[in-house]
Amino acid sequence: MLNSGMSRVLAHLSDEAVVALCARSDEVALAELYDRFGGIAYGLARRVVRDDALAEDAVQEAFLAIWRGAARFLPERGKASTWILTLVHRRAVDLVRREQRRRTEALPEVEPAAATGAADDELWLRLERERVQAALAKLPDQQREAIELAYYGGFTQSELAERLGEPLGTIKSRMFTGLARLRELLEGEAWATTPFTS
Amino acid sequence: MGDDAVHELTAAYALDALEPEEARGYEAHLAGCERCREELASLQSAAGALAYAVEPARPPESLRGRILDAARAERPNVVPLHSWSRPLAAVAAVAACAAIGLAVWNVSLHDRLGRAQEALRGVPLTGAKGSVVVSGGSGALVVSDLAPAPAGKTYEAWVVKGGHASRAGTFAGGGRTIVIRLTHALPAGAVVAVTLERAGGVDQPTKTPFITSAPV
Repeated sequence: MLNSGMSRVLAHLSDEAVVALCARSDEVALAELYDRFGGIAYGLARRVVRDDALAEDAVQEAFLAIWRGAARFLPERGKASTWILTLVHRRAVDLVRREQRRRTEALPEVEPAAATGAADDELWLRLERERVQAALAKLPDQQREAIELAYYGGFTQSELAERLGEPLGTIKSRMFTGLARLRELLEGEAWATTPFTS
Repeated sequence: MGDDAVHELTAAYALDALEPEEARGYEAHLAGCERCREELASLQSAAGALAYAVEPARPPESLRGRILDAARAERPNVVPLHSWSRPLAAVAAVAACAAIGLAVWNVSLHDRLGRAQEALRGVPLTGAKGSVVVSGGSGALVVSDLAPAPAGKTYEAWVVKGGHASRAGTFAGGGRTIVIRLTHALPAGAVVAVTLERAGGVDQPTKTPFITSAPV
């Protein structure tokens, strides 16, 4: 059985390098990815599925998808962290849609993830959380609402249009403009966006 | 769907907010549209950042071990054979496994090829196309056209003898023909069975086997 102590021998490697080791069936590398992303993945999955057992399923399926798909990850297409969290989110959304249980239940109390390793990891995560929350808060209300309901609520754009009583085109445009704006805010660059129009 | 309409789906796709059929349509479009691939990569990184706005939570201690066990069970024993394109007869399976067996079992080509081929026997399956290939006291399951296990599930192979089922490996299915090396010894008279179980596998079958072999 692998333990955290062993896996931390890879602690100095980049996320992308650890994914590359995963692609060579290195279990220690998978354990390292879990130690890096397990807490954020489980927090995200719980937020979406609102159930501890389902959240565990989502995280397990996502890490097995990472294990199977590591060889297909292309670093030039994006960061490993984005790829991993995209897989976690997709599994969580799939599960919540399948279970038809959704988003209104209160989240049960859970122990916050104390960092498995260093205090600076924990501090980094807290700063990152504040940064993303601050960027979200700067979005116009309707754009933020569309993005949050889609990403954290697991609603499809069609469901959102129905729920909010808006045309589908309006929802699409709010998602696009909001997400593009969020990207600018996070990157700290004032790019002029040119949203796609039909 | 017109091109512009497809481009508009990029943000919703990055947020996993498309209906399944819309998502498939978008993915098909993506394969041929460099502009959308670039746009998606950049919007996906913004969507990925949304994960960090959620407070991390400590998963149960057991989850780590379950994931690693499941990964270990899955990876090394499955050999996809994409090149096979016809239904599998037991005889073909034996011939193929004589070749694959050299790689899978590290049988030395030097002096054992003849013996290996001679010693391999195929036993037919009920419930799926394929066979169990037996070599000495061990074996492999060769299955064609098995749908991928649904999300959250895995196929699990069992060696059943004297009313007792022993774990013999988990696998994901999919692909044209797959070869699963059985991780449990295969005594004479045993039957190989496959059930669909929850991801990671279980210690004893919880479902009725949907694939069974004749006694080996």
